[in-house]
Amino acid sequence: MSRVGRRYGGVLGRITGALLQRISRTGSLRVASDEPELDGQGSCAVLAERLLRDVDRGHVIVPFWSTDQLTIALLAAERHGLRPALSRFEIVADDSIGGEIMWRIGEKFGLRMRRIHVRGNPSRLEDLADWLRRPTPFFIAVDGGSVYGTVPTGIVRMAARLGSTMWPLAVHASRGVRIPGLIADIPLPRATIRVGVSRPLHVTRAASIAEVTADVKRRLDFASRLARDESADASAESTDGEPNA
Amino acid sequence: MNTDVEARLLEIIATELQVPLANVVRGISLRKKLGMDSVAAVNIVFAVEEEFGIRVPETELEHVDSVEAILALLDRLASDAGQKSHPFETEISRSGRPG
Repeated sequence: MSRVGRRYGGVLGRITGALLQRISRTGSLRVASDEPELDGQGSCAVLAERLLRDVDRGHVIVPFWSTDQLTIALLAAERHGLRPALSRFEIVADDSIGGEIMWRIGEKFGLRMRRIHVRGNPSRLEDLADWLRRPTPFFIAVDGGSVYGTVPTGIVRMAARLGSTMWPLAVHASRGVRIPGLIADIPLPRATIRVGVSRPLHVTRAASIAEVTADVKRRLDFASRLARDESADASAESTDGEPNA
Repeated sequence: MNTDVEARLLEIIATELQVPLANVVRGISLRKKLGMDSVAAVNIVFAVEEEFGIRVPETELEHVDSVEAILALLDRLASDAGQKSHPFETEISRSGRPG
């Protein structure tokens, strides 16, 4: 990323971070999920418990779409109940402008951040090797630096190698705007936050990468529909059972 | 390069990329033809390290894009290690995984 890009991302990140911090102090939150234990909750406390339980058992990845990469920061507010889990997770941000914005927001909220190089940069392989040798649980915008709305095989291969449990997540604010050139929605004050959570899936070493990749996309789209309160569509296309993992 | 080393490497690549062994041949780009992504490249290198008992520096990972490139890398690492005899011939003559 160029120096100008870094500066632009940094400034935008600090401004957005301050705005998100302010918004996170107000407004209500509602969780929708096909996990009965989570559905209808008014905070992410139960989700945090489930994530922590899975982290204690093994590796965990929380994938989300890039469109939610700013809104998801709202969950870092103490009052929303996810903070205990976030302290055990890293938030992945690449060295693109969008990643720089994420990085600044993460700093603002006191989150643990992990920087990786963008796709195509040879140093990304070094990042991944280092990461796979010392894996940590993480949240990641899976389609960042890729085709938006698609799940790259790499993240699923990583999950297969680490035997990860994946918790597809979506976060939507009832009021938001989108800055031209940015894929992510920026929530506005007095927004109601709706969190969509798909049932987790456990990925084994022998899993079919192609099948699990398709399943993760289905579950992310499902979580997105839940977060956007498109419940009729969501239930119609809900995935059944565990993937071939 | 020892043919047994190559055969073992082809198996590693086929397993990691989840493709038929017959598809893994010399002269093709693993990225473009067999869908090798960054994590798959790292997985292949990890499996190679485990199989042959060597350590591949992270800086070498970008060269992992073909069977020939990986074989050349293995050869070079063996040479760099200063072993006089061909390391993989020695390893393969032993049963089980090299130490």
